[in-house]
Amino acid sequence: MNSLKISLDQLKKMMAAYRLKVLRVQTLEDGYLVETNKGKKRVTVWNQSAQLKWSNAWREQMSALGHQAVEKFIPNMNKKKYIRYQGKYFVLSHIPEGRKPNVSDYWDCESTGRVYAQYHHALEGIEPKTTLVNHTPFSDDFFIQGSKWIKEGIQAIEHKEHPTLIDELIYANLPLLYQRFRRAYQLWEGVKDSVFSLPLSYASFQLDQLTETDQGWHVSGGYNQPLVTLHHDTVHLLRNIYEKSDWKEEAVLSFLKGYEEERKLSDTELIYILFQLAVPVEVWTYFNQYMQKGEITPDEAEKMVDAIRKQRHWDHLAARFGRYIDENNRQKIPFQ
Amino acid sequence: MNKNSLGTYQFDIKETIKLSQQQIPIEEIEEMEIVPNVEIEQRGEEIEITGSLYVYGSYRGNNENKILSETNDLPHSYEESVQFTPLSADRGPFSPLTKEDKLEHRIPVKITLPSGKVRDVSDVYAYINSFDYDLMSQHQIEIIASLIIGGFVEKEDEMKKKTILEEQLEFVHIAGGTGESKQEPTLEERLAAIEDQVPKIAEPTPAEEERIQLSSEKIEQVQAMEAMENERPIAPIEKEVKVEAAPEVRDEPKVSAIEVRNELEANAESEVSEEPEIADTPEIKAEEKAEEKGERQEEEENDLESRTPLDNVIALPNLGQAPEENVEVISEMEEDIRVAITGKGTKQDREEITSLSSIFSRRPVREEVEQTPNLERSEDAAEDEEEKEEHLYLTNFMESNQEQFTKLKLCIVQKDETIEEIAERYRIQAESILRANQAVRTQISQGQILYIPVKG
Repeated sequence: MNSLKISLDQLKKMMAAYRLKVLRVQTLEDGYLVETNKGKKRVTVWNQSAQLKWSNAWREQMSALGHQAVEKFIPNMNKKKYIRYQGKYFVLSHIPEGRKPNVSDYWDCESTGRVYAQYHHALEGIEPKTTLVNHTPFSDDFFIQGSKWIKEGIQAIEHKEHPTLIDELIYANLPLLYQRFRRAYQLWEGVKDSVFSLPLSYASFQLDQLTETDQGWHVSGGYNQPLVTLHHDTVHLLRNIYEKSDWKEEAVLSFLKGYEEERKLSDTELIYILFQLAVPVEVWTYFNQYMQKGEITPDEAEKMVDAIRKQRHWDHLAARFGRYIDENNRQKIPFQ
Repeated sequence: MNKNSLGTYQFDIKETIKLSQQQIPIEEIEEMEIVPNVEIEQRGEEIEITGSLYVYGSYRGNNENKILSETNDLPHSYEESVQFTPLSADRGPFSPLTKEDKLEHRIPVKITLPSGKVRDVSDVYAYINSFDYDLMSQHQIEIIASLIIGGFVEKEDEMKKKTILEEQLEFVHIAGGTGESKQEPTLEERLAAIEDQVPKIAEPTPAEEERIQLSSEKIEQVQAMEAMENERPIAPIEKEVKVEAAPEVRDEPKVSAIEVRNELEANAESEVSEEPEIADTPEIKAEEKAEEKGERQEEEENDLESRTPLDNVIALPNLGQAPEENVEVISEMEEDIRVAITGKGTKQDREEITSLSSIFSRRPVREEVEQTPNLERSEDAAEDEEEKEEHLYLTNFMESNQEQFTKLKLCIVQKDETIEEIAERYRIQAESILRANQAVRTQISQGQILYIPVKG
């Protein structure tokens, strides 16, 4: 949450600008859940006006594209969608009421896939001439440094006088990590020149950003998130669906089906998604933490082991997505 | 098992060693050795070799962690491109940091050989003659080794020499019957020296087995004679000879070195499945036939013995008998005796060598010896008490009815051997040996011939 804390009185004054009376306030990660005389509202606090503008743009764009079920910023009496206070931007929005997607229901997966594709359509329509920084982690340097880190990690463990079981565990897995890392780099090299033509998007997209309302799947969220090249969020969402569905690839395929009904994924986008699925992000993160700190708590060790165990699912997801690309490619070439 | 050179047996060993799950896979063997750790014990009539062969080794492996695949080739499909070896949440059966490991394996050994093939169990030894290995997989090694068990008496060799001796002695006896043979001085002297003792301890029993151990000195003599004989024309391998049924010949011992050798071979075959080396040779067949004939002849000779006046004559060999005469005599007798002659069946073969055992075992000798004490008493009454006692003992020894069946064995004293040890080996009292060997007091030396009285 943004570090700025405001008093109840200050919040009441802000809500007065929206002609709302504050009944109860609950602190959220990115703002406040305010119970008013006209229902529950969300107050989000933004640090940068550019991010706020970009966020407002895709919401308006979705609406313009015909999808009204989207979280819009409510304008105040001054006809502004924010109140600036102490360098921060306070924004008010509705909180939709309804159910969240059920990934066990492949219809939900497919329909959310379509909405998600509309969201990406909206992102494509945003004017890219902004001062926003692309925080995409992937670059040649990412892979070069990663390879170096793995080799150094192997050497460091080999030179330990008394290696621990965690050392041995990491040591045993580093070459396998390198294998994935190396392949991801190869795939990256094939698409890196065209990837940056893709629109910006949030680094992640959570399933619970979708709420089923009378108007369909309502899209919300995306507050203060760094922006990256498109499909960083897709990979995140695909993994989210796969894990929540108890590792059912059908849930993912249904989602992809709905998505591509609304928006076709290009070869670049598909490979870009594939190479990200191949990178063992979670395991990498835990290994890196241990190597940096040189120690690990029992809780962290348990999480690391869980991450390693989970990686086989991510490996399977990557392979299944690879087959999805292969199948798409065969369909593109008739009589083959 | 194979029998190598005389005195050693080779056991070829092929063993597959499988690594346990805790051991790292083998990539490169650094060192490998095999060490025999066996105990050699005598158990009754057998020498038992038990223990293990220990295989020790060290090797390198588990270096795959160091190999970070740098391939730039992409598979043909995207699915294949992202198919990876699963990560492992377990450390695994062995530390991934382990790059070297050791190998230890035990190959149990239990070998049984007849004790009759060794002089002493302490002479038997074991060692690895050859050793090799084959890396069949990263988890499997095949060990190939040869275990040598040595220290066995080279009886074949000795027996071969004895066979020569025996064969030639047969001729000697035939010649002795005619009294025309010449004798080579060296053996003659030796025989004379031995014969001086013989009458006092003569072996009365006919056709009994004797195991003869020849001293190395004697073997050398025989070898020298063999060498001489080899220069002469070689007779056919198997030859039928008609032998004159001289009484001296009749009581000649029928069990010769051949039989002893066969017995040894049979033992060896039954215990260690030794490949037959001798049985099929024409020489041995001939010898066996000769023995069979000999048995038949023995029966006939026993009949003759009862009516011949020559029973009381000591069959001193008369060497130098003309072979032609021999043949004539043989033809007169019209008795078939098959004699195996292995490369030495010339007429001159009959000349010189005598068999001590054959002399001692003849009944006429015993009978003469029975008279000897009386002669000695009358002629040497002034001899000292000790000698008298010995003579008396010998007299009693020979006069006893039971002692008619006493066997006499010859023993060649081995290096550092004591009378007690010899007595123990033959399961008799040391005193008995001393009594049987007048010239011997307590000191014996290597190569010395001792007479071993064995009751049976």
